[in-house]
Amino acid sequence: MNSLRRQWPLYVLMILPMTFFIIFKYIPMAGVMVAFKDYNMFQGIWASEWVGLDVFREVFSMPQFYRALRNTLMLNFFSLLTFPIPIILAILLNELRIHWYKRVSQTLLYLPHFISWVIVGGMAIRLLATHTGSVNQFIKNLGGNPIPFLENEFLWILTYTGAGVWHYAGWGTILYLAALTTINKELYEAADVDGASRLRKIWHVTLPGIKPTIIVLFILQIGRMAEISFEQPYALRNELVMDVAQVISTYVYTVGIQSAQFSIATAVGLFQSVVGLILLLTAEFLSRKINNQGIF
Amino acid sequence: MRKPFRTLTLAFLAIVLMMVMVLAGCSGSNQGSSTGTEPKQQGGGDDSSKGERITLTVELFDRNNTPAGEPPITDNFMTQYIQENFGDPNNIEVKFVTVPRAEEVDKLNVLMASNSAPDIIFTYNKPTVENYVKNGGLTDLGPLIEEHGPNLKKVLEPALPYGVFEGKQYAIPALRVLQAQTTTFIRKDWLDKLNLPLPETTEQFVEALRAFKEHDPGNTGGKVIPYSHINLFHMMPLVNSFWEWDKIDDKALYAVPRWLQPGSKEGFRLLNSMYHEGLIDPDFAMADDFSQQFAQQVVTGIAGAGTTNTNEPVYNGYYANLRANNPDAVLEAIDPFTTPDGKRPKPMYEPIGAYIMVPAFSENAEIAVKYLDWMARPENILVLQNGIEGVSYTMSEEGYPVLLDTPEAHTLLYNYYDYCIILNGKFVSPDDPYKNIAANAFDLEFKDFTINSIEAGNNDGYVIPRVDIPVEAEIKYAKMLEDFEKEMFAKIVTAPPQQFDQVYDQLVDEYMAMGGQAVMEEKMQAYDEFYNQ
Repeated sequence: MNSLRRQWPLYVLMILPMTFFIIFKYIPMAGVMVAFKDYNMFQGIWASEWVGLDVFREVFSMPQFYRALRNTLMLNFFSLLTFPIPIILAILLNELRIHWYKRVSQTLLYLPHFISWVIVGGMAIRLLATHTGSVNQFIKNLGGNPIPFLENEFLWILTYTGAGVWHYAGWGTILYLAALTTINKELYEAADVDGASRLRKIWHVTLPGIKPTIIVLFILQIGRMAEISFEQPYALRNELVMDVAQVISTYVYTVGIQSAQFSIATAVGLFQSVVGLILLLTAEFLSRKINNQGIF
Repeated sequence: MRKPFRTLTLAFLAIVLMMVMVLAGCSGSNQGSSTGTEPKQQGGGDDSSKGERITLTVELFDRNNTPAGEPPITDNFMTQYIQENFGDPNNIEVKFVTVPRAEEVDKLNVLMASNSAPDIIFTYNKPTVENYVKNGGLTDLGPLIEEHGPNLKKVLEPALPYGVFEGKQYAIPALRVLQAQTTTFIRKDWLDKLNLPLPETTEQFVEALRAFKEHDPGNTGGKVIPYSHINLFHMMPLVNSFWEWDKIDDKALYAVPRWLQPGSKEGFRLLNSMYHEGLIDPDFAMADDFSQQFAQQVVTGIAGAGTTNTNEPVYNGYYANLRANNPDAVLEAIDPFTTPDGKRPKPMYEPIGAYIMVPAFSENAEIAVKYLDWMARPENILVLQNGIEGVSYTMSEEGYPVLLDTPEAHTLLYNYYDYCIILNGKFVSPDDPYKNIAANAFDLEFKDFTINSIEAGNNDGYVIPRVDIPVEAEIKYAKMLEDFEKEMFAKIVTAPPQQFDQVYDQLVDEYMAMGGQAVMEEKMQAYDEFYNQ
């Protein structure tokens, strides 16, 4: 009670974010009802008829749904393989001693994060199209054979993952750089006294110092394995690679928004959330087992 | 120490207060616009409703083709004409709501589901209309047209039956003046350079493409794309020329997917071999729907031939741009895709364009019909389709408008077809087909090209039989199947030749499994029901 009286401005400040979360995150959750109804968009959610699990039965009988689920997990798995890249970048940046050089490289690394995926998609076609893209023109001029970056399914996955690294990696270093500043300088000095080399210091001081951050971010990423952004696959895909590029988010868009089958789209989305929750809890559980620390 | 803290607190509180006020302001103005037709409270008394201006909202396609420096499509000569001649006299504010052309169905579904669609909406997509009908989302316009739409009834007479669903006039289909769908054209100046005739058969056409590739008559430095604008919709004349028409009756034409029609596979096989020979645009699968990519290829003089919407090079202006770049360039409409018995079958449109609708939740259905009726009056059609006499057109002696080839005309009319939504194509009079065709050959410089294009696009054309019973499976799967067809097309055309049959059969199986079968069976039933009543 005493603390409430003393710190009331802080509590008042909390009201706005709380209102935001309640209005935009919790109230819309009631909308998942649509997944259990024969939703009529003009009658609204309440007036539509309950149909139990019929919608889910229909979803699980659609071959396209399994394809989207598989692709989502697969693309996310490839993205997960790139998880160490921001860590390496952050450590490299941290080791830079020339101040202005560090600043400039940091800014350059952040920039791609601010470029919309729609533009990245356009750039990908200009650069990587098999016959007209600049990269392939260059290869052809050197006498090589054009590489179908966007048309071959496996190469497309690599292009997708690579574009993801280009887009996210620089931005992803921010959290690690922040964690790096919390490492006690005296540890480095002690290591210097012991005659440790740079690599040794990175291995024995820096990495253990940011280990908790790494674990938290890793768990969060595992929890996101079942969900996938809409823009990245949608902007990069084309008709030839749909077998690997149709993911849950784009499938929900096709089914829900374009075909107005809102019940099916909601059921798919709900299923995705449940899988995500299970993955998140599993990762958390494993992390507690192995490292004695998790996030919750 | 205490004082700064207190100032900070006050500053925070001020910010909080401000945000709350902003939020309140937002919701207030939202309310204002959504119930804009209701009289405001402050006036008080009965007379406030009389003086209140009603806002009529109208959907407008944004094709992203506004020339640089021109006014926005929501506030230009056309919208001002509408406001001054329909809006102001009736105390109505006509407001246009833009929807991106390539996402019309998505955007419309969202607007409809959130009850925020404009009073007048339209779509080219029939399953979408049927879905709205099925869910009770549309206003029955029949009685309103009877009462307020005499001009509309007269102009749209051939089209109106297509807007009847479950016995009610839920949609007003735009009248399609010309039913031709696609026409192929070729660079005649390239043919002349190579001493080749205008192709009259499929073989001659392919020969000409080979010659384009080999001799590069346009001096493109190897960038030549002999045949471009490759997509399923525009490849139908080629594919249709391989169909075994004696085995296809009306019911099959209506119900059987194109992939399963006898002979279809051979048509796609030809495209496949053209792809591997380098005769068609190798990156065709990268182009989005409605992209300007092909227009660019024509304008920059690297495309040798293409199949487009009939007369598109003229009405989209890229033929004119090509001529500006290269005065020697000549496009010629051709009709090369021939069946063994010399026919040139190709799909044609029903006599309708977009379905115009009024959502059930709209309070302005009557005004909407009055607006459309106003639009159907000849004097308004003339202005909305042709602009200002003396500036963008002149009247010919025979009484049809002829466009002037001036920069003013181009900037006035580059998207004219999006305002006069009740008509698809230039229209002069319901009683005079010749005037209608002549009016569509509006650009004098390209008059012959246009007339030839229309003739070629009509030649041996077929219209899919009409069945007005909504097909449930189609409502549900149409969009997914349509997307999958694009995927099939890309994969089939680019498949390695030795695996062509395998890829084709496997994709067709997938297509049938994901809803194609259900749609076909229901369509067969609907056909029998409709024609045996």
